[in-house]
Amino acid sequence: MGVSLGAVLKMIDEGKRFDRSVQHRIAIAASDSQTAITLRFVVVGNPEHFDSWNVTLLVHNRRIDGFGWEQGRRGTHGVPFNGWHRHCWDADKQHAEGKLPAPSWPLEIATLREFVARAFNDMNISCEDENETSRLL
Amino acid sequence: MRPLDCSDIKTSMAKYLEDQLLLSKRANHTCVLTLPIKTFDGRWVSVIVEQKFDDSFLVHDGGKTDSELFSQGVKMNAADEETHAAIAAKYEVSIGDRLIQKVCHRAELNEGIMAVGQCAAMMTSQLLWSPIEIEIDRIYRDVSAALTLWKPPDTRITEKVILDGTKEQHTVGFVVARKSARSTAAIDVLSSSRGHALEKARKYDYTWMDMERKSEEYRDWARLAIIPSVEGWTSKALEIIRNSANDAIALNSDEEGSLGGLVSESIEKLTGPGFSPGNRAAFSLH
Repeated sequence: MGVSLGAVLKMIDEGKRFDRSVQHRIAIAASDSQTAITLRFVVVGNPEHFDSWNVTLLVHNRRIDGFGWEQGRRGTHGVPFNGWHRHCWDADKQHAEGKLPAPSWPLEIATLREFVARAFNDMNISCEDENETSRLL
Repeated sequence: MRPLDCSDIKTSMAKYLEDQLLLSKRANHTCVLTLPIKTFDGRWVSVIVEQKFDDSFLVHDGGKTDSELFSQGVKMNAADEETHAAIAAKYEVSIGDRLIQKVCHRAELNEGIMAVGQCAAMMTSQLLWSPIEIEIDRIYRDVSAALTLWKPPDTRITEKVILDGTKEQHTVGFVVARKSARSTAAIDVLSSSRGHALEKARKYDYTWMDMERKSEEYRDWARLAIIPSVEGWTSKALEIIRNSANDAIALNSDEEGSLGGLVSESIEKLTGPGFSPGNRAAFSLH
């Protein structure tokens, strides 16, 4: 899935949400068959309040990965965090409510642009304006 | 057993609340308070307090609640938005620019912070109903796959079609147009939750009545209604659908594996030669 960082940020600046869905075919383990899944990629938030920034990947409308901010207590496995975190998928519970501190992210991220660029990078989401993304990291 | 003094409970509770209340300062006379109030997705609610003037404060959630709901797949419909507006009204806060917010004087600040925090937590109860959205998504995918397999060469299938009525626009799940038979069929997936089947059925009936009033063309469209989890539907609601649609596929939750075959069988009949879509009962709302 290739997206343009500039296009995403323009939508958010205009008070909209970036929300793109694609059909993706995957092989089913231990079988010859394939199935189609709906991948949904969402970037939302109020540019003025970083508390609300979220980059999320959903499968069949359920979050499986993503980044956000929380002034919180303890994340998954009791790891304390206060700030940027990554959602981690729990196969048993079938949700990604658990959070781990975002690895190597600074506590201070000044702009939504930098937040989205970092999230794209860590989630291996390729950007059409790749050079700009690299420059921000 | 030594009876616990009520004042001890109060003291202990006050200490707990104080310990759990987190505070961080931000620039421009802004503070963020994290309250010991848990949301339905297991977060602690944070409330932002901005001092605007000497005795004027803007208290809000920074848009966090809206952002979290959307990021967890919640698609708000008009009814959901009404519910949120009702919750906000109960807590005497407002929703603007996707922020839960309240303007207060210093004397009302504590109450305002609690109101925004409680409202933010309460609104995440929407997440309890999100499985229905996932279910709808799956049913649409199954119907789409069945139609793709069935599709004759002269047929066009369009998904999520917006059509004009006299009062408002309506979205139809799938429109199947078969050129050789000069026939068109519309497929709708009617998922209902929380005992709202009758409301859903009436809405379906109203949608087609409104569109027929707009254009007679829609009278010639065959209608297929798909009703997953039919065990949650009342007989009255099903009767409305039977009267309004040409065919209905109603399945119990454990029977939905057979949906694909039933869809192709029904749509072949509804768009085939010799079928007259006018053979359905009058609108039940008439």
